Amino acid sequence: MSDMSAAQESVGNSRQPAAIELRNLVVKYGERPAVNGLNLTVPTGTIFGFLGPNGAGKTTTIKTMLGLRQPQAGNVRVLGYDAVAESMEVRARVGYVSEVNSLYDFLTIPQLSAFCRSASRQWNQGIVDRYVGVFGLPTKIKVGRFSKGMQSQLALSLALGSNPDLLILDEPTAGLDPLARHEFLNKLVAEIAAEGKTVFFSSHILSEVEAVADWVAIIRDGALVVCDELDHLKQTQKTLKLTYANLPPAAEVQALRDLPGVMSVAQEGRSVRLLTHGDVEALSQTIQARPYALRGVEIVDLDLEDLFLEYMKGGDNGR
Amino acid sequence: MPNWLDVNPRSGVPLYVQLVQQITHAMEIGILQTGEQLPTVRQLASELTIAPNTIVKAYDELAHLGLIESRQGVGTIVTANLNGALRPHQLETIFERLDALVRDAANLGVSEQELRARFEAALARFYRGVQGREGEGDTHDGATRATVDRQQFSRKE
Amino acid sequence: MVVKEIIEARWKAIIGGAVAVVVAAVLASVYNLLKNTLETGNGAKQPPAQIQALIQQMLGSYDAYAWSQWFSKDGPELLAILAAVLGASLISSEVSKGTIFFLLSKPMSRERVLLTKYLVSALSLFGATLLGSVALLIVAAIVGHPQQIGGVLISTVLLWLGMLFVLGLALLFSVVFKDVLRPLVGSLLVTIAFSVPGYIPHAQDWNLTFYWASFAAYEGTAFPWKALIICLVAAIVPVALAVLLFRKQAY
Repeated sequence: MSDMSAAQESVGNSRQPAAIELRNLVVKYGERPAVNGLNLTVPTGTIFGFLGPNGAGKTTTIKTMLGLRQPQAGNVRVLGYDAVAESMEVRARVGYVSEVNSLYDFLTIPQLSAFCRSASRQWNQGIVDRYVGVFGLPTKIKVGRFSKGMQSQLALSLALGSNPDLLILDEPTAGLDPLARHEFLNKLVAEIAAEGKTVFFSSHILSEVEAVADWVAIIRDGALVVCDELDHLKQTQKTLKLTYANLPPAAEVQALRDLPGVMSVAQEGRSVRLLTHGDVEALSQTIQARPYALRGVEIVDLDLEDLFLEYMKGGDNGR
Repeated sequence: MPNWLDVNPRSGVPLYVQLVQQITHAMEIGILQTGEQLPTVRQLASELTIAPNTIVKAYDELAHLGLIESRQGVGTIVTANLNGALRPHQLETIFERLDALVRDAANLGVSEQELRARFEAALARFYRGVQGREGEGDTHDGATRATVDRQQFSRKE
Repeated sequence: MVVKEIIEARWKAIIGGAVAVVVAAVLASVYNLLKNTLETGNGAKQPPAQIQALIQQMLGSYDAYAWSQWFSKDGPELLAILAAVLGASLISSEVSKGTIFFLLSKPMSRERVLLTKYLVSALSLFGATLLGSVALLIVAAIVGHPQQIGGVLISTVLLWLGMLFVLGLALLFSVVFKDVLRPLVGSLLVTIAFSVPGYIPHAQDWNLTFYWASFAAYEGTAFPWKALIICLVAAIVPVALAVLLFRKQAY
């Protein structure tokens, strides 16, 4: 049971320095801020899903972590190193798989491996060979002739060759068919995360994040909307559906909005939907004790997609 | 491998809670026996394609409930038996379901008298026809998960 | 990384080198033919005196012919295009293909990345230049006009240094632009602009391309110190600028 205790260590170690720590990060393209005051903490040993609509600043954030872009303000620490001043140290310890398939298409796997070895501080060809074998990738032909799925698998295999403590994947499964995606994610959780490595991946495919991530962050317009353990989020964020006997007065709806634990309120005639945080049962009791007759009270569990949509529209009454 | 495990990541119920519920259920209905070994975190992560930390969390919770134990060099062992640690947990689940049932009925506007009458009827039916219905009840339980019980009960009304 | 750069540039370098060999060899071999045609075959039309003087200047001696045709004219033109082709894609093609993210995510300093690329191209360019000179030497010896090895060598180095200016410019533009075409055309246009003073009276000293070739050095009568230093400085400036720019460039 050695792997379990190893993983347990990584979970229980909340005192361990965070794998990634962003403080008030601002990154601009010209005058336009792509990342605007982003705060984020990625605990060590987690599979961290980084979510947000297109243009929210996910890729820019990742590029800044790797020193491909310089921030205009704020602080970026990756594995304890400053991503601006100690970018080399960061890059020596991080495996990166970028959004676009960015491998040299005129090289074969052995040639690409040789390139990576020459460009890395430490290199373990055995790891690469093992994953290349696991994925069944051909070593004789040029990478340009690989399918998209094979290129992603190779990019992952190569990223592991430097034995990184942290893997940063930018939309790693974009453009993969469902089977290739499943295989990719399976190796990610079963082989890489199980070794206690931290995996940070951006995605817009909520279902894959929901399946493999244990932590999620959602960003919008370059700022953090929510960052939490996924299970905790599902446990604490619920929708409370209230059906009133008569149309509730505006003052009552406003009063609901002000109740502790209510994050947003949406009203449609006699039915009111509350996005709640914390002890939903207690909140439900409180609301039922109020002087307006209720026809029905329903607690609805939220899946990640519901949560995502709630957060995307609930800008008015956010945390 | 545990083909009786069937987690749904897209559910609103946290994955680790689903795991705890399903493993506990497997113990309740005897699929998992005392002394049996649970799959390793890595095996299960690979089988279900879910984060290892989630499985660790579920195992921690089960260990906390006194249902399993991690032993050095052996693995994770089922320590629960129906008369031991599992029983309070089972009772708790049952009564929680009862609470939910009452609440759902009330929400649907079922009166207290009607609910009581129905409950009495169910009790009478069960204890009178105990021979004929026991097995059926068991298999039904086997297919139902606590996660969906709330809806299922309200649908039956 | 060196191997990858060599694999990426090998066809350009091989084709460039082959063309240099062919052109140099053809130039070196057709001297007698040209001379005979022009001196004997002028029956019907007598060329104007001005052109005759030019022909006399060009074909007066084999040495002057070989130097002016290869080291002063076709060589620089051909190799400048090769330099621009090699340099233009160094960074911009990585950007346009998206491989720049893969490259820059490795723990290498930007300076190392850029200079490795530059050095591989510079050496390919030297190879092509040298091949052209060797072809010239061999063919000249075959047609009975053996050339001074020392003079050819120093002219080769001078020409190469001159070409490094074009390569450096192409590299600089390759950092600035995100496509391959603009660095290619841009570096050639700027190089041509630097040769403009050659057409202005009394401004010959400001014509950069003038220093790429020295007949005195070819003849072995003078060592081209001034030309070497000017070419060296001209080669370093655009590369230094490219390094400074690349260091701060965001991708």
